[in-house]
Amino acid sequence: MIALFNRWLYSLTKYVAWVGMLFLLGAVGITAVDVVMRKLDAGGIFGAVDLIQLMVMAAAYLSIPFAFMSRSHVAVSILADMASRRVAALFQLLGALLGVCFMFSIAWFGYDQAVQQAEYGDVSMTFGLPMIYYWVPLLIGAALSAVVTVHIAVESLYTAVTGRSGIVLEEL
Amino acid sequence: MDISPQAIGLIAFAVMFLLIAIRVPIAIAMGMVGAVGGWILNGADSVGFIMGSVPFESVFPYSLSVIPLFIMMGVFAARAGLSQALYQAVNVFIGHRKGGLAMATIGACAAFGAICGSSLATAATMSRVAMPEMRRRGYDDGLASATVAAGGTLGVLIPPSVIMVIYALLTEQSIGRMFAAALIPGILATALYIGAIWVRTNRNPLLGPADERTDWPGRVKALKNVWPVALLFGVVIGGIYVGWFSPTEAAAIGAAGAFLLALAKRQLNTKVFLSCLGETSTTTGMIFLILIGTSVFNYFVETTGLPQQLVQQVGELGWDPYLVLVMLIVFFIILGCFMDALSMILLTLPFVYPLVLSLGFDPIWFGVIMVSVVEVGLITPPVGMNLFVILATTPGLQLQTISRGIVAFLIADVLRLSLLVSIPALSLWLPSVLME
Repeated sequence: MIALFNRWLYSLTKYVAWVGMLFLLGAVGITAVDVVMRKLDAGGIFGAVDLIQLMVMAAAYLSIPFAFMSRSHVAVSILADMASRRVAALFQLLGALLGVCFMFSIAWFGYDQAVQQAEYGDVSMTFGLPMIYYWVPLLIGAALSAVVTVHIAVESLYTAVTGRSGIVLEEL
Repeated sequence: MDISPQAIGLIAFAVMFLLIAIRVPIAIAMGMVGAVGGWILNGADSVGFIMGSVPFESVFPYSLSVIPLFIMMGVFAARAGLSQALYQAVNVFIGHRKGGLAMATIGACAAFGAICGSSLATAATMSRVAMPEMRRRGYDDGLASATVAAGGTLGVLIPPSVIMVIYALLTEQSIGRMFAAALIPGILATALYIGAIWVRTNRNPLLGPADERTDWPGRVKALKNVWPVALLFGVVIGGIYVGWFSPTEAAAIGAAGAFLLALAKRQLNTKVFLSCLGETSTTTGMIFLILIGTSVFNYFVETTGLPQQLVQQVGELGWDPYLVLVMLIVFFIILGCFMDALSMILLTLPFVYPLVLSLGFDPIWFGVIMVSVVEVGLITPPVGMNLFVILATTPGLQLQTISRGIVAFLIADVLRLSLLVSIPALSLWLPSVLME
């Protein structure tokens, strides 16, 4: 069950991360075209900065769940490496629970802020994009990261109790 | 019982280090300690405000766009198949000397660092090219593996460098000035590493036997294969200094250029392309989560007043500023044995930066020194990240072997740090010429 959910969540976060990277490629494209157009004295792309901010926001937040899922977030493992498998799993359980709290708080309190900005009708500086657009990737990324950390917590608990891993880490 | 904000700050630090020590991801440890600390100091309402706004504000600024763009440039550059050409181009000139292949590895790492802003990517890419070649020619495993590990650190120092960009953004310094300031120290590091290899192979020629000499037509032919690297570096870094584009635009142009190079060299199929996206994604997600955690933590630290107190207390001690600087460097070297470079910079900068400014040091100069020290941490056992990258990519290599070989390069690093500290012009002359 844990392994099945792990595979499913791994695929989901990977596709979400790829979407984020397509946004980043979009930022590359817009910037390159903007630079070329300015050199040709054609005035550049109107609102390019707003668009790039949106795309980088999406790239960053949509990447965070996959980084959790592929265990890429930086951690110091000296003590954990010396500990037994069960104790190391307990350390990981604590980290995952704190991760749940942190990412859930970002999603929860971020949602309040996003709703508030939508009600005020806040828009971006040049292009006039509704600010809620910028909040969408943040809320998706934070919420999905919270789900991933819950999954890691469950898996860690399973390992701590049984001494066996419930999953096999997949290759990138 | 009333506890002062400073005492709460110190307790929070202790808790954070404890969490980091038991493998809680550094970003999460910093973020949660910052949030809970803020709650204790300023009440529950402040947590709602901080968690609702700081994670947005710490990713939103346009200037931060430069980070994922340089990461993407580095990932595509690493897959463009340029490392082999660079290695050959340097090797045909110095491969016939004792330790020549190892020296060529350092030279190729420096050149590769000029288009890839990551130490780990430089080490991983060059180890795949250089390690089999050095092993085939009978090089000592300790010298060969340590050469690649040390050479990898040049990716952090030689511009463009992601860590240098982050330092510049956090301290509100010019990215262009930082890049210019790091260029001569980067060349100095390259020369000292080559010097370390020269000393070792002259004392014991069996460590790195000389190869056959290449004739001039062969050298010219090898040079022809590295023009894309020179072009990419010239456009990205040169473009910043001649005012063609901002660092963010340069990073985007670099990413596009590296992508097109990989495509032109037929290195990109669908699988490799998606793998590049995955690699860019995990690094981007990792760095931005650390930035978010750091921002939450820094918000809390500022309310404790700890940085100001540190500045005041060090000022009252009346110590020589250089003594304080040397103590900071020693502290960073020790911390670097256990923490990764980015976390170390982000964790300590809120305290160290005001202190350094209060001592009257130039922030650009200190940035170069800080990044150089952090680099040392990448090759210092037991957790030097580059060592593990080489171990992972080289079959049959032991940590003891690579640790034995790394000592000569650590001595070179200490020598370089001494030169950088005692001669600030090594870092500050070039930006003053280029940016006036």
